[in-house]
Amino acid sequence: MAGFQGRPRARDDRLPPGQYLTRDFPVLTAGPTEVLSPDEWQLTITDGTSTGTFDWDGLHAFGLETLTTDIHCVTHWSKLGTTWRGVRVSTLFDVVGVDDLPYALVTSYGGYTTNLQLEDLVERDAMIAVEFEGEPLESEHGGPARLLVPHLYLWKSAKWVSRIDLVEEDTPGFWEAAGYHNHGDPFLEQRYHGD
Amino acid sequence: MSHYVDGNAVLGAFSLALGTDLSEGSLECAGCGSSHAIAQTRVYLRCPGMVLRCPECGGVEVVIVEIDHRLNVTLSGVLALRIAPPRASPTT
Amino acid sequence: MTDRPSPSGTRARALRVAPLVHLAWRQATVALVVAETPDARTLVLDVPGWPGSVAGQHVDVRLTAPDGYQATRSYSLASGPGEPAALTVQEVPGGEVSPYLVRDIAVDETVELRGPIGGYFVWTGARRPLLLVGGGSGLAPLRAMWRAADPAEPVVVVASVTEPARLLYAVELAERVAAGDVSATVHLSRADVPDDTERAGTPLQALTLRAGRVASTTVTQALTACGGTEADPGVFVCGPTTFVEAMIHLLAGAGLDPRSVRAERFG
Repeated sequence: MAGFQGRPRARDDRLPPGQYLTRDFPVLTAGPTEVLSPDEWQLTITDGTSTGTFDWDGLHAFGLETLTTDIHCVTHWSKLGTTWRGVRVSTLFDVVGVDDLPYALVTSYGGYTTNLQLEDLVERDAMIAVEFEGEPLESEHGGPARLLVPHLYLWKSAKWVSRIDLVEEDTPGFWEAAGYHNHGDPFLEQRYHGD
Repeated sequence: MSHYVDGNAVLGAFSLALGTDLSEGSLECAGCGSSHAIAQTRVYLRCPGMVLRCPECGGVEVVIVEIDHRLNVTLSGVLALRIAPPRASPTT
Repeated sequence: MTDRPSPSGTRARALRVAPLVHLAWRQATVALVVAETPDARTLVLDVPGWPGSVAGQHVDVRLTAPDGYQATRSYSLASGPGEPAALTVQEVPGGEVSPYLVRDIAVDETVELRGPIGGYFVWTGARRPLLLVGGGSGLAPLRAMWRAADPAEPVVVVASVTEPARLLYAVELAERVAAGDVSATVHLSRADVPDDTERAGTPLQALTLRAGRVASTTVTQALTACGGTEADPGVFVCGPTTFVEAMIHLLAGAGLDPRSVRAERFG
C-alpha cells in the first residue's frame, strides 16, 4: 500500500518551488463568477488626474498581442506554456497619459481587489487578456477581460478587471489584507506576509 | 455553475481559529445588516483561502487563510459575531 | 464535614468548559469498509475517545503524504448517536482525496480526524416529522437522521440519483420502508425506471422509483406525508449546490417557508 501521495509533484526547471504541474485549468474564485458580455465590460484607468475608459472596441483598437507564458497559482499548481492574447497594460497607461505613481490598486467587477507595484504592470509582460488558447476568455477564467501578470502568483491577475487606480500609497488588496504576500513572486516563494 | 458550499464546511477551522466552538454561532453582516447562522454562509473554498459570504447580500464577511498551520482570520464584513454558550455535555 | 451527596441534578447540569477538545486532530483507524455503490464506500472508523455525534454533524479528515504535503476535506457523518464514526465517501473524478478514500485505503490504516462538528444542520430527535431530501452522496448525513428519528413520527425520504446503481444505502432504505418506519421516493435523473422483473429480488422492489429529476409533485406529496406545513416537520436538504437550490425552490412552491429548510450544500 503506497499510502496517500497527493497530486504528483513533477520536477521541471520552469516550476517554481513548491509547485506541481497541472494540465487542466483549475477555476479558483473567492466569489460568484461574474458573467459579463463584452458589451457590458469597461476598464477605467486613472491616476486621479488623468482618466481613460476603454470599452471592448476601444481595447481592440490597439490590436491584440500574443503572449506565451507560464502561470503559477499560490495554491501550488502551475501551468506551462499557456498562450494568451490581449493588450499590454503599458500601452493603455501611455494612451491615458497617467503619471508614474508607484503603486496600483486593481478592482474587478464583483469587488475583488489586488495591489501591485507600477513596475510589475509596465516592465514585464502584464496585459489585459481577452483570449486564452485561441478562444475568447471564459467567464470562469475572468472573461471577457482579465489582468494577466504572469510573473506573479495568479491572484494578482484580477479576473473581470474593471479599474486600475495608480496611487502614491500602497493599499493591500483582498488576499494581501488576508495574509498573503504583498508582492507574490513565485520563484521567491512569496506566498504569505513575511515570506 | 455554483462554486460555493455551506458554512458548515469551515466550522472546524473557524472554531479553532477563534478558540471556541462556533457550531451554533451567528453573524451579523456589516454590508446589509442581516443575521444568520455561520452554517448558512456561502463559503468559497476553491481559492487561496476560505471566504465566507453573506447568504442575503453576497458580501464578504470573513476570510480565513491558513499560514504555516496557523489560521489568519479577517472579519472585515462582520458587524457582530454571536457565539452560543457551550452546551451541557450529554453524558454528565 | 461528613460526606454528603450533592443535591440531585446539580452535578448533572455542570457545563463542559473546554469545548474545543474535539477539534484536535486524532488518529482514526479504518475498522470496516462497506462498498455502497461502484464509486462510493463507507468507512467505519475506530476513534479512541469518540464522543458520539448528533445526526447531521460532520468531521474534517486530514491526509498527509510522505513528503509532508497535507490535504483536508469535510465529510458528513453517516453514523448516528451512539454509533462509531462512519463516513460515506463518493469518489470525485480527478479529486485529490476522495479517490484515495474510495479506492485505496484499507482496514487498519489510519487518517487524521477532527470533530464531530456542527450545530445547524443537525437533528436532535425531537418529536416532529422529518422530511429528508438528498442528492447523490447527500444521503450520508440523512442516514444518520433517519436512524435518529422518533419511531412514532413520519420520516419521508426523497432521494435523487443518476441511476439505480448509484443509490446509497438501498438495502437499509428498503428494510426501513418494509418495516413501515420510512417512506421513500427515489428519482432517477438519468435513467429509466427498471421494470418489475429487473427489480424483483433487489432492494429496489420496496422503493418508489420515478424517472427524471425530483419533481414538484414528489415534493408536495412528501410534505403531505409529513403532515403538511402545520405539522412543523424538520426539513433537511443535502446535496450538490445546484440540487439544493432547486429543492428549496420546490419546497417553497409547496408552501414551506424556505427559511425553515436546513440545507447542506457541498459544491
